[in-house]
Amino acid sequence: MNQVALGTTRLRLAFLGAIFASLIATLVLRLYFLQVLSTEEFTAGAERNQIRVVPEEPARGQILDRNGKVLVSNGMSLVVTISKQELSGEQLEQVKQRVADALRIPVAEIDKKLEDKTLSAFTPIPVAENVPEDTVVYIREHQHLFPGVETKAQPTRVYPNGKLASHTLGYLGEILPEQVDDERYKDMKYRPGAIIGRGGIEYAYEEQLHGKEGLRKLEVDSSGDVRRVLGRVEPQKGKDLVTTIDVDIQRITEESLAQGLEKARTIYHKESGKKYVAPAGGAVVMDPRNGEILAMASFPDYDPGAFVGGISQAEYDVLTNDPALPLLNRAIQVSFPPGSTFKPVTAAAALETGVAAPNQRYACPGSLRIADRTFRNWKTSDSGMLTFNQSMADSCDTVFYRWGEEFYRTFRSNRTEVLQDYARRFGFGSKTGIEIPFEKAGRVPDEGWLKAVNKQRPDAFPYATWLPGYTINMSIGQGDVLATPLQLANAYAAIANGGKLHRPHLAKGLIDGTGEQPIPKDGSDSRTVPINPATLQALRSSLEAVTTVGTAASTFVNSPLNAIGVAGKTGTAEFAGKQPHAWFAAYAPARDPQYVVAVMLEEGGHGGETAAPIARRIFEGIFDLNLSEIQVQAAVD
Amino acid sequence: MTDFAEFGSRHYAGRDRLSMSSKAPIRHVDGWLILAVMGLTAIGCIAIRSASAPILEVNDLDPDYYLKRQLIFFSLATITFGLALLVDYRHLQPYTPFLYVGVVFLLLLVLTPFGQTVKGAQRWINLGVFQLQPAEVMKMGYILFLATVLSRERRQDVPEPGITPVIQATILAAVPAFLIFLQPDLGSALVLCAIAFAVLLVAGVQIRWMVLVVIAAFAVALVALRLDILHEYQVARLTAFMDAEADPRGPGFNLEQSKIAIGSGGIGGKGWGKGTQTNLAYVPEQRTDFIFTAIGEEQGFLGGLLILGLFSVVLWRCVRTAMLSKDLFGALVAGGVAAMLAFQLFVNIGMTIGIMPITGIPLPFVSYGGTSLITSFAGVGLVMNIHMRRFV
Repeated sequence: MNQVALGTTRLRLAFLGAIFASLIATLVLRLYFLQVLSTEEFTAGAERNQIRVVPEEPARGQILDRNGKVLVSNGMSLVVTISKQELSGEQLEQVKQRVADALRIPVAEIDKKLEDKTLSAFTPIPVAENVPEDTVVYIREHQHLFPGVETKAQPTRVYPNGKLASHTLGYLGEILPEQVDDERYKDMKYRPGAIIGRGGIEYAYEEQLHGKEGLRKLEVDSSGDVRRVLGRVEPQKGKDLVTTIDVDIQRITEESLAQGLEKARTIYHKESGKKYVAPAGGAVVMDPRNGEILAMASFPDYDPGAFVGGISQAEYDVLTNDPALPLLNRAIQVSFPPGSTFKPVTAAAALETGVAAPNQRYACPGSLRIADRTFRNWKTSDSGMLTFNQSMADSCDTVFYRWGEEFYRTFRSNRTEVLQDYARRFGFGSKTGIEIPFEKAGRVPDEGWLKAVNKQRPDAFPYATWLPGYTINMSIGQGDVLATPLQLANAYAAIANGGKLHRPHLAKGLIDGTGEQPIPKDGSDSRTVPINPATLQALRSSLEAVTTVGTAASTFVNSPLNAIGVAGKTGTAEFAGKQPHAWFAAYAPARDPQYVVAVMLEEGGHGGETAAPIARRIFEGIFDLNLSEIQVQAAVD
Repeated sequence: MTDFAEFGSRHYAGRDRLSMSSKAPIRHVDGWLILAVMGLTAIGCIAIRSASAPILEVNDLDPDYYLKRQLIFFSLATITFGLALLVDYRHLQPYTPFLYVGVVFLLLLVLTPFGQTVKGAQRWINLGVFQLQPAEVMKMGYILFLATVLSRERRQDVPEPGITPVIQATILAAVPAFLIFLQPDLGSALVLCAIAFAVLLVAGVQIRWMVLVVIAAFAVALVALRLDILHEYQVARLTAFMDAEADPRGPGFNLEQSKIAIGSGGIGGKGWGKGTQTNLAYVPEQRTDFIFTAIGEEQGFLGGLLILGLFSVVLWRCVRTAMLSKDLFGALVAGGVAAMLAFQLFVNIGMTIGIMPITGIPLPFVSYGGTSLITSFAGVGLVMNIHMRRFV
């Protein structure tokens, strides 16, 4: 056995062994790093792999009218989705083309949806909604041609009354990516792409209507196939909202407004040399006793159903570029000079400050010269001496100019802005606080405002000094005073109800699993108008005269409404470069006010001429009388 | 020194140890080696079951399908192991050229239409119930023939001054390596290089020639890499090794999933059958080349240490056998087998944990696959043959 000189071989083998040992040591170190030091990171990675959380949209709450009739409910829309991650590039191209062909839409439209970065690449992306059933059946029957394509039913909004109350109800749309972290939505934890209310009640009561998103926790394998459902959180249906809207009154209000506008367009307007354009209008019906809105109409309207499942940009452009602005809610989102409907405010200020008294008589000349300017009555002839009620009934501008002149004097002597003060007491110049968004505050112009706008836009407002004409014009609701139909309705409600200014509202209660809960009230829901009850009584009596002997008498005298009693005021707002806007605000029954109606027609003529007849028809509907065809009247204020 | 004799004596104390000749081969069976490879194979079987059952179940197939096949391979491997012990390894020397030439022929056959293509690589010959992978057999064929050539008319412990062995080893490796590379199977081709290096080292080639070998190897690798950068189709070909083509999520996906599997195993693992990466098929090729990920995920760092520990025993016994070998041929064969196993171990586990490129090299004894298992058992069988006959 010759093992004498084994030295070199042994040494070399030992070296080989050392190499092996270092290789194994390297592996051990690396494993230690991966499995002991970094295990948390990789555990998270394994979980991300394994678990997919698929959100489940909750059914949105229904919107009901005050009697439980459905205004908005839910339906199902068939949706086609594509799961990008399951397809290779080439496959995806083929599938996109096939889906586009099946849906008869361009591939580019699918691309746009698929490239939406706000949607997770791991969830199926909806590429088409409201898909006809036969298309869905076709895709299902040829599923082998459509790998990664799924069809499913998705809850959507249904509008059983079509366009009815569309502005008030609002519409739905996807949450904008930048909105997800907004203060308003933060707590709701919406994921990008969630469908939310984007206008009207849908927006205002989003939190209550939306419900809570459910989810399914799925275990998926590397091919994206679901192996197991790990857990499911049922989506929680949103609460049903009972509104103050009365669907019948709403319908009559909308019909009457549309019909009245149509009639207005037949009237020739001498000053502009053409018929009234009357492109738009708004109307509000509210309960003066509590501020509940029974109807809110805006013309022209839009189809909220078009927004279901995402309105296309083209459709949206049509709506936003329409010069008649159909998306605008004329009842709250536009403000115009209220014209003579503002006169009760002026009268209240005059009575309260002793400028006028209910039992006095006032001269009503055809025009009045104050501070080197001539202010004309809407009637050119001299009407002689009028009582307080007659002044209101005839809407005699010159009587009110005098009072305005007095207010200006007070202002000049002690800087007290009396008329502005009373306007604000009736709620003008600030938002009424109705729940639905984008309400305009209107405007009560005063010297502070004038100085500010003069600074901002000296071209449009060259004078920084409050001139007598400003107060005088304001006394008949002209000039820079602006109001929305809702503000006007609310001010008349305060006159009607004896001095309570309610916050107008649209929600009555919420229905959840346990029944209906009324919307809680707080102290800010109404406030008392600081005006003497006697003053309000004088105003009410004068407003009754308007419909019996005054500017609206021709509309109401021969109506069965006479028995109920309607009190109101016409108004015609002059606006430079435009045809006059017609206004009418009224309440009924005159001695037990339960309904206030305010109507406004843009470039629709005179208040007594076109607006009052619309209000008459609305009242007829409210009191279940025979609905009369709207008859335009003589062109009175 | 723990020969089976001593090992057994603990259990059979009092038996007459001198009843057999102390030089008889049967007295020198290497119990450590047997235990270690059996342990590795057993763990491998459990891991194969764990890695393959979920996907089989999902497809309504027998969840034990691959386990059963591996057990059949194991019995064939055991028979091969036994056969490898029967004849004195020295008597094999005259036949090694035929083995070598025979396997080269098989490698050629693989490239003809007789070869079977799976996922773009032509590596197998279908024998009906069994798919033979000649590249695996080539590893042993190369070790045996190279050892025969280098030990001819030489005794161990005599330094080899010339460069002749280097040239011989290179030529003998080049022919099969080229054929294997064409399949393509870069991994198996590299195993031959590792074997050549170890055998030359043990054969006593002077250090300067060894250094030259290493430098030459690096130069070849560099040139190959350069060419790959220049010719895109070659890069594609090289990355087609695993199944990068069938992977739409990018080439990093396999490695990432492999690391997630192992890393998420933590210290103790998630338990057999409870690894989510394994059950949900996130790791590709898991029962074969990526079998270590199943062990890493389900048995954790401790499971990995056990595997490496068992391999350490195997390598230790191989190197020790080489040291104890009576002749140079035995030392070269044992060293070659050790290098074959060590290189495969390092590259295989290394690729699953991101320190080696992904090449199709199985983990000896553990990965699913008949040829690899049988070859590995044949290798350790020969090592034990050498160990048993070190006194005769």
